Amino acid sequence: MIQLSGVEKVYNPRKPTEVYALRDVDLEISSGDFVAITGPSGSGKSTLLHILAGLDTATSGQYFFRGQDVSAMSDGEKCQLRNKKIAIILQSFGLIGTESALNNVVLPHIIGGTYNRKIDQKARQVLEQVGLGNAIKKPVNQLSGGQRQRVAIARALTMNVEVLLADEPTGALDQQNAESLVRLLTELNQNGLTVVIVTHNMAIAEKCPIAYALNDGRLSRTR
Amino acid sequence: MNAIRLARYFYSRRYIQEAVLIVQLVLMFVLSMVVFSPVDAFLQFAQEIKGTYAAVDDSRTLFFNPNEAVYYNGTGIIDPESAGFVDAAVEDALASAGIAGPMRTALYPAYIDAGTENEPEEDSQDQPAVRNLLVYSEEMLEATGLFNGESAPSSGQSGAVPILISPSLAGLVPLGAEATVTLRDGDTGIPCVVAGVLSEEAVLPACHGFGSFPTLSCFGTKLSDYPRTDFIVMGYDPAYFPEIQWESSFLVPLEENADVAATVQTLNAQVGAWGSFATMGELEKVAFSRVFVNNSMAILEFLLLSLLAFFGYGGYLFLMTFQRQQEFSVFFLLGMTRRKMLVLNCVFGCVNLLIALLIAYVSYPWFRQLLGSGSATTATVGVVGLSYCFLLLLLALIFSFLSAFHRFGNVSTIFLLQGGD
Repeated sequence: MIQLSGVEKVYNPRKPTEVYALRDVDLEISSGDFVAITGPSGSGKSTLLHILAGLDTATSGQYFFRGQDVSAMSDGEKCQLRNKKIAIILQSFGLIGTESALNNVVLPHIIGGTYNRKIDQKARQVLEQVGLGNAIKKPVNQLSGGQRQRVAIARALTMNVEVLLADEPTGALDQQNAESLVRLLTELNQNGLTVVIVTHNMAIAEKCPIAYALNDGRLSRTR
Repeated sequence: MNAIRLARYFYSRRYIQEAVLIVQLVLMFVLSMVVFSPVDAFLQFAQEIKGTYAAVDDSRTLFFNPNEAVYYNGTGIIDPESAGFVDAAVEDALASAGIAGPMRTALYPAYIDAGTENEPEEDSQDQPAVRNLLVYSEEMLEATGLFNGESAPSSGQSGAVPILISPSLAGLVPLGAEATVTLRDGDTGIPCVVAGVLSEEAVLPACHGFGSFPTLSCFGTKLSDYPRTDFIVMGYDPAYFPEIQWESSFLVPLEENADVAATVQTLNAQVGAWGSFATMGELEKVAFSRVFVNNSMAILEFLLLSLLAFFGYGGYLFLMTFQRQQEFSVFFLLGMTRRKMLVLNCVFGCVNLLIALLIAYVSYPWFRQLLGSGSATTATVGVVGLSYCFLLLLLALIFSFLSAFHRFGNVSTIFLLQGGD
């Protein structure tokens, strides 16, 4: 499903402040995988995730998603990819705080032009599924961190994406909420969703069947 | 529908915000109309004059006093040979000077009284005499029947002879006042309408009928009050007009046995910039420049308001974009291109501008009444003011969004994604 070959990312190339975030990264993720990418701060985890999501572009190397060369895609095509195939959840949640949970969940469909009443109903069901049945109409900035992260996951589920990328999803959560979130992600993976978690929390990484470690921009498989 | 939802997310998240913004825009438009009202009034006035001219058939007015030549030919006041010379000289001059449309001529009360112009037999020709009246004096007002106070303003009538009055008479006769000037036969009436006020600084050619001695005595009696170069005198009979009595400079003195080519050349030089349409342009130009000279405070106010409008509205949108950069980054994350966000913002902002413009247009008479600057019935919508303000705000909208997206586009993504490590 996802194939990275010789991917490098250099910030400020050919300048005194040149930084290699990723060096010769090869990665292959199959459909239904549950992958953890770990590493210390500054190792390039988030950069790798942003490249996978099409938010950033590799300096060199190739990235294929379902056989399509993402590195050669236009901005519009990458946006389509994020709207239809790949969802990303962030430590900072990536939600519109003043809007209700429901509005946040249906937002990708509004952007994609596919919003209708059925989507609205589905969004309500998914919000109930992730335990937010009572918070559907609440503005997101009135919800707790754990609830916000669940809204973000509900949004990804409503999008019917193939891959869920999670960038430090438990970073802003307490232990209880973090464990609950991982359980939810595991459930989703068991239902066929491909999940890639970037984290420096080894306890979470240990729950993933496949694990990679990033050190100084170099990726190696640890499990 | 989805586009509207998205636009609202960006531009004004709440209906109340949108309503407040539209009210602000409406007030801005109305303000622009107030500031621009002198310019608008002038342009409307100029338009009315042009409209009046357009209502008169050009083929009936394109005369450099030819009817008088016909008349004089007929009566033998001047010899036919001279009259033919005048006609030929005038025609050649007009043609070579590229003057299109009618020349305005002065028609004097004495003519009207005496009926020496527009004789019925002339009217029976294919090109009946129709002139513009330049009214300089109260005597002339009386002669045209406009001074009796019975004239009422009207919207003017098609085919009426436009009357342009001097500024000193502007308070005596309202624009649009109608009168019927009766010719000597007592049956032929020429419908006339006061079309405008002459600019004090405008250059106005007036063709005097040569050989018509009653002209001078009836010419408002104060010939010296008028700038001498304002008149083009085509010809005269020195026997009737001793120079001391005339006291006017003859730009093209017509002498017996004069060289036609030389006269045409002189006429070109003197008349080239004139002609009714050229003169009208000159009138507008001068009047417009006077608007600026006489309204320096208004100009200053206009400039300040322009700056306020541009930076106020543009700055608001810029800050709004800045404040919502996280929202923009969420949209980007969920698959919307920056270009689409920019277009949506601009289109929705433009729709709001149009709504505000429409409200301002409809409510302007009410605002005028409220501001005490006129009644609702006489209120005119300032097209120039509205157009200018709309374009200014549109420019501010596009410029602010472009600059904001250029400035914050990438920053916003980083802003959202930071904190992963």
